[in-house]
Amino acid sequence: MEHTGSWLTLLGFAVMAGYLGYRVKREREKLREVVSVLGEQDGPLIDSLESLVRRGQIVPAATN
Amino acid sequence: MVDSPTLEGSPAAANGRKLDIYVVDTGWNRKAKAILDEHLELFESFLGGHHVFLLSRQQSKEVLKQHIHLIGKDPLLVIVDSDARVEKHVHGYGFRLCLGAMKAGRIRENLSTVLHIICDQRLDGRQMVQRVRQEAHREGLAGVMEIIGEVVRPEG
Repeated sequence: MEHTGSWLTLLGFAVMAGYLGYRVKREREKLREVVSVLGEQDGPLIDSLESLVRRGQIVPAATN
Repeated sequence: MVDSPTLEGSPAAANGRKLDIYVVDTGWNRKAKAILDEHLELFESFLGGHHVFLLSRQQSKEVLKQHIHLIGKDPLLVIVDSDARVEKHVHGYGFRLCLGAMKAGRIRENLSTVLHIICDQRLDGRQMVQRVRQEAHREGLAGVMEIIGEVVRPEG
């Protein structure tokens, strides 16, 4: 009986640790979606934006 | 590239680093849009010397149609260090912030963090990207602590 109790406690901790790991992994993925450093993979996005500028379709907003 | 109004003595003029800052917003996320609109004028006023480009709703849609992985994550701030891109810097060319993918309560704080980083005259392009990574790391740790709190919080 005593053994069963300690195994259940251990199992509880293991489940909690697994869930925690899953949530942290998801949070990290979400964070990567929110903020990311621009690199080679973002070339097409930057090209799209710069082509709007080159074609004169967007101009810098006046700052003051 | 179209010439922008540059302010003398502005942060960009001081350290010579000039960034292109694109605001892409289709209006998908109304809450994030409202917060951005509320702060945009102030945001722009801190960015004298940099190029700030505001895309129209239609232009934003056109851009996102070509980059479908970003649909639903706008408003986006895309901050590009053109010089770093031309020189193909290994540390990156700037950064992208998806305000629409953030918790509404964090948007204001993250906008001010971005302003701090952009306006910091001491940072060159590499250091700027490093600061963004540090802030993201800090944000990640805060998220982890929040999750631990949620998981181990006693009921009631």
